[in-house]
Amino acid sequence: MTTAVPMLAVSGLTKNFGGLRAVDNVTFEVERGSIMGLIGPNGAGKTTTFNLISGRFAASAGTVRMNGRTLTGLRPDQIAGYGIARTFQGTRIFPQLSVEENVRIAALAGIKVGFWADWIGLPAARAAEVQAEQRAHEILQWIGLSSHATETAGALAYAHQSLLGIALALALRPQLLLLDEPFAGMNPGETVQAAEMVRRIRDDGVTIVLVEHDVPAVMRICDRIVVLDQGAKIAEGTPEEIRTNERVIEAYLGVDADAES
Amino acid sequence: MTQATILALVALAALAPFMGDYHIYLLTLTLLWGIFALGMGLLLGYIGEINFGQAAFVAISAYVSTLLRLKLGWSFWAAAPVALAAVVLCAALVGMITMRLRGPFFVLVMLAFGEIVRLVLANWQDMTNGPLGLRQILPPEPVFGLSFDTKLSFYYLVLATLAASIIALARLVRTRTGRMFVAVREDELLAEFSGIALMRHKVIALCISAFVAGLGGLLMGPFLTVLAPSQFSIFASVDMVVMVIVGGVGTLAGPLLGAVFLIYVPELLSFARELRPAMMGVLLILVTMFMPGGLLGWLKLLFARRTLVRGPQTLSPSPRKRP
Repeated sequence: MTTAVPMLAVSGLTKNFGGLRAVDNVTFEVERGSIMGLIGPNGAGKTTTFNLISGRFAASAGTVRMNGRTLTGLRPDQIAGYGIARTFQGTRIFPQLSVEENVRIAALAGIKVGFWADWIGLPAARAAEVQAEQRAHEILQWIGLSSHATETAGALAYAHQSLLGIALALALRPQLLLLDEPFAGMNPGETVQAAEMVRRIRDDGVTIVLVEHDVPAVMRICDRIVVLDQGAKIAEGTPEEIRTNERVIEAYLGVDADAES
Repeated sequence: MTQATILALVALAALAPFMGDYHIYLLTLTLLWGIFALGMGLLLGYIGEINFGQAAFVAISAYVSTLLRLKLGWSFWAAAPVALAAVVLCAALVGMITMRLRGPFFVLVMLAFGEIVRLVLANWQDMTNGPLGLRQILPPEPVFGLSFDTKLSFYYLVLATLAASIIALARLVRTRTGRMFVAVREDELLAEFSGIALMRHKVIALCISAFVAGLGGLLMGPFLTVLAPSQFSIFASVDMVVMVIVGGVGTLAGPLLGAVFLIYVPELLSFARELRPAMMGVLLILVTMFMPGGLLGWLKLLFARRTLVRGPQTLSPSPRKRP
């Protein structure tokens, strides 16, 4: 018997920006341990959906539930505390800090310590410090940035910065990871490597939702795909089902032919 | 760096008995501003917020403690914790409102807060004696067998307060909380999505910064023997900001260096008082253009270059050219 409660349940999610309905009554569920792809033409509302799930924007209507717990209305840091981590389009890091300190801070952020215990240096604070250090070490090793640990993050090559962005998200020990265009700016070879890494993250027990323009890559690694167009969900299914879905081909290719040039 | 700061503090303590009254006065003033700059340094250098209302926190502490002494006859030591509590409470309340604001709005609202406090002090005649201010403020009463009625003993009190603040803040910035501050400074959005409660940390930073400002405020009345609203105008806050930037943003020793450079040095060189603001402006421009790390960063660079040149292998391709 599988559990009735999905990892992530988005229902009737709607976001209005003034007169524009950026996300229109979107409903989908993400099964534990799966990779879900969110695709659609430019302006389809993919990133806005991410921003609604992770708490950057308040939803105009609808709910987001994780393991049955309603997340709608919570702040981003609280949602992160429930085990949802995200990356950003174009990558965000702490630029002036070393690579190692970047990951240590992210790991430390996930461990709660009382303010005074922290300042005075009680054992709990020291334990958190040690734990964060270990975690940072593991993650850098895992993601292959160990040799850059002491470098200033802002000076890293772009590809390494985007790896660091993912490392920061993983430092939270998330149950659910939202990846916003993880393959942007990569050549086909790099995309294959990155896709492999996404699979390894999933194999380590992290459920993944990703927004991506590179449709072939999404088709390769995702278990399920949700297609958005002009804010609304127009299709959902396995890569096979999406590939042959007429509405998708119509909406997607129609716009794509103009946008892709 | 740490050693240099400790060394400087020890030297300041050890050399004081051999200095004349004038230098003691000047050094006390410098250290007092060092405390103010330190408070601003935490805010500007670690959480990344600029506060043009910082002088209001100094004012609240100075006035509350002094009024308790003058009107109710409290001792300095009884009034101090009450004044500090008042400052932190104000900072928490103001912070909870203003820290929600992004970009220039925080700066503007804090500036307005600073002016409101100053105007209240200037206009609440019955309580504060208005623009004429409070006069004949006595040194702190003796405590634990220590008295503070000489210039030298008061100097040591200010130095001890500064040293305690530095130690506490140096500890803070290494802890989890301090590093969460830095994360917020580096990238607010990323920090928040990494699980750092933005408001909480910003308000805590403002409270700690205000507490340090308040510590300095306690000592201001007894030092100058008078308090007037004009001492707490926006220009006082601007001075603190300039000290931090000139000294070195993102460090604790930097603001102290800034205070030395902007209080002690001009007085020592007996610049005309009227020239000081202009000098500060020019200095600020020069530092931001040519020394992004402030004086402290420049000193570090100088030191690093010397060790590099002396070392076996000269790695640096070309040491940064100085104007």
